[in-house]
Amino acid sequence: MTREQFISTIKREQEALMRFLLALCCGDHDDASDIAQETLIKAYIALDRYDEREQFAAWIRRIAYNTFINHRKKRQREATQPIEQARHIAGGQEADSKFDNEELHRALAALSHSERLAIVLHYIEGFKINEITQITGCSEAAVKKQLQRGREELKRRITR
Amino acid sequence: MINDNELDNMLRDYNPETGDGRDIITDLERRMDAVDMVKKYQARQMGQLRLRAKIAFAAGMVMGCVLMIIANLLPSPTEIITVTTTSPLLNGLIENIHYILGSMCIMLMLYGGHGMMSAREHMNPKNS
Repeated sequence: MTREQFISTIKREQEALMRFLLALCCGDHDDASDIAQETLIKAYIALDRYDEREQFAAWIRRIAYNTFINHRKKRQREATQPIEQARHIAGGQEADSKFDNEELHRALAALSHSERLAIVLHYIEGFKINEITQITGCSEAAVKKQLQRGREELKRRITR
Repeated sequence: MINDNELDNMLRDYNPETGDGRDIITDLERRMDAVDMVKKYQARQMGQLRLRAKIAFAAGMVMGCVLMIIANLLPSPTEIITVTTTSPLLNGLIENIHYILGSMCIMLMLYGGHGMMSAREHMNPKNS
């Protein structure tokens, strides 16, 4: 893939990638933007290793998820306050204004990273379970369990 | 608590404000330029290293051949040096001293040549 092809692919993918990262970051725009930038440059550096038989969207999401995890670990090391508290302070002003999204973000924040990833990839991004196994490296049974647990938790947390 | 349908609808309709994508692309292109610059530099360095390795290999082969010819023309070290030792290791070393010294000289010359090339590059960074 050439530089120009990479840029045009990113132009097509960036909105979906941002939506994916916003869901992972539970609505924190700043974090999602930082991770998106880091993901894209990592993808460009690793472009030689990209196997074109693989779906680009899945490949970039795998990089994005790993970057998200590293970002969270770094935050946890740096933060003196609990990460959940920090996230609410940082994300409060920038959080999405739509009530539904806010409620969903709050509920997503209660899930573990793996459950959140499985829910976002399957229900929001529309990836199939076997594609999720390739992105996360988890078995099909594990992904199904994460989806089931995640759904139950979301249903319990979201009220109407 | 909501039911399955409501949750499915909520997840399906999830469409947050993702902001202006142009900023991301502009910033990405700027960073890509920097990455390309580093990649080009690394490729150039790798090319130089490969060239140096080839030169060193060729020079080593030529000098090794010259050493063999000279060593065969010279009298045997045992004819020049008289050593009264029974140690087979020492005897072996003395019999082959001209090869050992010659190999060491070649290694030093190649190492010096490599050092000289590196120093020249540091003095003229524009050429590298």
